[in-house]
Amino acid sequence: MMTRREFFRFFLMGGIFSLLSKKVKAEQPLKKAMFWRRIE
Amino acid sequence: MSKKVQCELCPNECVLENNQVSYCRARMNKNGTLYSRVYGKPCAVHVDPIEKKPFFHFLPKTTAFSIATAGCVLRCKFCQNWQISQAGPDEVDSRDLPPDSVVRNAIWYGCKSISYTYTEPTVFYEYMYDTAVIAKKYGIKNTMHTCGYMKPKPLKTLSKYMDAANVDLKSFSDDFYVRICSGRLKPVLDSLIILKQENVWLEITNLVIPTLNDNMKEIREMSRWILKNLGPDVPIHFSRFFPQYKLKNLPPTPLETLTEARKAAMEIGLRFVYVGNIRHEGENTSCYKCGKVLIERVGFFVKQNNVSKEKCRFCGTAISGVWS
Repeated sequence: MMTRREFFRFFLMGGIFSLLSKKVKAEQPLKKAMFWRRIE
Repeated sequence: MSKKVQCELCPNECVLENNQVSYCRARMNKNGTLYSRVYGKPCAVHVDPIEKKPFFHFLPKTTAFSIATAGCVLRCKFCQNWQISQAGPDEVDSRDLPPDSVVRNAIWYGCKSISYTYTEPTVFYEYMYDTAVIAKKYGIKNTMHTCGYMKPKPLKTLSKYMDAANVDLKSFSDDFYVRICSGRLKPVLDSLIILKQENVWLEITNLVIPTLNDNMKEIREMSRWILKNLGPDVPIHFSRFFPQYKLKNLPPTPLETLTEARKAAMEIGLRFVYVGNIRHEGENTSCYKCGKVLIERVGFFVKQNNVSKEKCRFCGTAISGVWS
């Protein structure tokens, strides 16, 4: 049987993880274009 | 060392200083390297009937997984999708959908093709190209609705993976292209010829705008050019204009103008001439030999299809298109 304290610890950890997961969403690196040239 | 670059994708040939964004809003020079700002970030994702593109001779009654990103190489005053085409990627809601996910979604939704459409696919060239390569591996066909404003080299590279293209031939007047679209006519005509040479199934859309490009002399001239350079089997869609964007002062195209344009193009010798954006018998495909209705359409919906094994079911005449 889960105690009230264990339940709240589990609940709190879940909340923290879900908040973190939103913040660490990776940005896609920019894609290099295919047709272009450098002008010297 | 200079950090200036020149884009070689479309005839605008933007020369960009460091941190400068291209005319189409979809490319950017960062420290002397040109990057796409829209790769894998579509702002429009839909499953559409292929007839909506419009493709009338390409896998009728199937659906196309359709995507677009923000941006355009032209500035058409009549643009029907100006909210996304005349905006940069930072001004629209877009989602992350990398090329493999596009193909996975297309398969999941039972689409026979992926369509690069709504805005101008040239601006998301790299995204379109990578998606098309993967789609081909999985037996999904690729189609695009384009203004044809692309340079020959990228167009030829793309054509290896593109099964069909619907090109907007907005007018047969260079002056119209300059004044109304901020472009030129010749690159579009060149693209049409390249697509034909590369065996990409080709259809043409001409939006008929009252007072601007509804001159029958010009429509005849355009039809003659199509017949001479692309052949009689290239379908052409005369589409009805509705007041939009910067041309709200003009009325919708009268039905008589569309039927007159259709009649003129058929008299020149084009075999498959349609009217669009309006319910009309000119939405149907008829056999050019026996005259019987082959594909009966109501809007985007196919009511009956009498093309069997690429031929007219009634008289056996071969009907050009991609039917399976």
